[in-house]
Amino acid sequence: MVDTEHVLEQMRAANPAPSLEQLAVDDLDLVRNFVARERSTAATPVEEQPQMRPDPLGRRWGVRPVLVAGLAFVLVLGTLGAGLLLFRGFDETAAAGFTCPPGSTPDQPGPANQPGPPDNGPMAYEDGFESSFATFDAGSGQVLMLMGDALWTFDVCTNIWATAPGPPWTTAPRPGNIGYMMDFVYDVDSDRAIVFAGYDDVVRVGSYEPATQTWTVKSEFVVPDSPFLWLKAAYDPVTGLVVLYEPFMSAMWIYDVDTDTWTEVDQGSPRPGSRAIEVFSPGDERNGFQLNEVFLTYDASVDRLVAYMGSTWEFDIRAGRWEEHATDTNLLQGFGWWPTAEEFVYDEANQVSVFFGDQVTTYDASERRWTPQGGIYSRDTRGVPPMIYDPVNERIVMTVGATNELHYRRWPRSGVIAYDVATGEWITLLDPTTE
Amino acid sequence: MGMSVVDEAVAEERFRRIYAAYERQVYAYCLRRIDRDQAIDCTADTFLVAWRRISDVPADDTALRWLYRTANHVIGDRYRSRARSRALVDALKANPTTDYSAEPETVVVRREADTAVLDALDRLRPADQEVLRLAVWEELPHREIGELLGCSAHAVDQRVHRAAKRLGRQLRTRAGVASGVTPRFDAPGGE
Repeated sequence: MVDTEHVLEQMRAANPAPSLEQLAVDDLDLVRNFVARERSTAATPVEEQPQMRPDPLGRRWGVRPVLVAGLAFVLVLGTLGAGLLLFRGFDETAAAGFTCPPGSTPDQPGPANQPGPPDNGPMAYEDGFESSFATFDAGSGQVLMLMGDALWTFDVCTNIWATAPGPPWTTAPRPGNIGYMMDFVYDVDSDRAIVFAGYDDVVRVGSYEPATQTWTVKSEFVVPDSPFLWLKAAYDPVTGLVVLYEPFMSAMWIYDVDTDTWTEVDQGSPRPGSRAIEVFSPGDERNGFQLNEVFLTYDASVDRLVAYMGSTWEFDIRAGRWEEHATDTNLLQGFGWWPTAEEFVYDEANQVSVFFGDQVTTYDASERRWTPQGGIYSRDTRGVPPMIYDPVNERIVMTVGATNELHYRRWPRSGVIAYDVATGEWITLLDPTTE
Repeated sequence: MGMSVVDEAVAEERFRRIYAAYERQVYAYCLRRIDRDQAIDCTADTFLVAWRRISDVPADDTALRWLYRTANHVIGDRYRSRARSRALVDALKANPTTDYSAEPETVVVRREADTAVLDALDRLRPADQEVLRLAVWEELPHREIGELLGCSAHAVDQRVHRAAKRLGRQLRTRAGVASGVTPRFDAPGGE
């Protein structure tokens, strides 16, 4: 346990400028001279330089006055311009978000053996398989986890599961229902969680409004002649719209839930190839291929979609252009091992995208670098459940189970853990239900 | 549109008052984030922005917050990078501003402790560093920090608490104590 008061006291003692009275008068003289000079330089054409005392540090403005005055003019304008830009950026990024109510204990495990999502589920390749997808409702500080026809919520301030109304259809792949679930994404702009599902050439869409706990079935989206569809979704906070990538056809659309409209995106060239691989499957045209996984997220630090598809790709949504970066796949153990449902999410606080297959690995888009993290947690125990980024507590949250005794026949979801990328620390938010 | 002579005189007087009132605070703010030479530049640049935007500077005591925010932008724009942040730590190691008037051994121990804290602070993410500096070094009330950062005082409580925990972990890691990276769950027979 970290004693935060003691830490703060240590920091207080290490203050590099502990007392205003101790500040060097010479330093302030330099500031005064500089300000006085630059003000006059910026306000009027340079006529003559004020007499300066010899600069003991040989600072730049004491060396070549005319040149420096010109530079200073540019500097002042540049500073002003940068200041204006930064003011804009500061205001945009400082929007107040949801915070846990006073007295909350988000780091303490939630009540043991509370009702939660069922641990046991059918095998992935049985008809009743219910995959689960999660997203985060930043408006109320809740994880939304969709499992088949059930919606579970997990409060990250109290670490308690609750149920909410499920969608008005089931997501198991039986005729007449919505089909396979593909992705679940939160649209911050419209305060709705959107699920994309379907099969063959039909995409079915449902939107969930947490404030009213109501579902709305949206129009079906049909892509004629497509033998198969599999959509990965990412929310673009700049446009407030959802971007969907389809790896079989390498197609991309933007979806506006408010108007229920789809717009195809021109991705330019080069772009990622199909992730489908032909496999021999006699008597079943639809299953004549295998689709390798795609991991997709929006990375705000570079304003790009970041995707892993055998190599790392970044898509500039504004310019409509892909860029591919070679990737050491040894760093990414577990990628593509469907159906482990490894997830890939953007961690706003640390400005990296986080992948979790066999271990946590982060992608820093600003440096185009993957880095394995210290925390390792076996997928055998984690099973297939999803993970999300929790902006309230600034960490990754994922569900887990208690045992891998029934590996491949058990899809544990009741336990919840968090991973803090900044510290490499795992935190138990809820112990898995024991049987 | 230029200012009239009267306007200029008023602006000049306002600027002089602001400068006289907050010069040291702004310099200290910069000095707590970047090295001495950079802090002098940062202070000057901050007041130059204030001069050029004098009509934007609040007339009440929130002027200091405006100046802190401007200084933060100046630092972010021109100085803040890992390398330069490291330079501050190195500079402080070599020549700490703190005047420790104790015994020489105490000074040495004190400096080592401070260096450890500054090293650990340097490894935190910028948002954590900033909220801790504002709370601990600038000693701003959490309500005012919230106004600076665009969040509630309660949110600042949480951020400071979390950032302090992370700083503590960094200090423990540096001290060679178990840093808490061990997973809580180990799969039986797992990888």
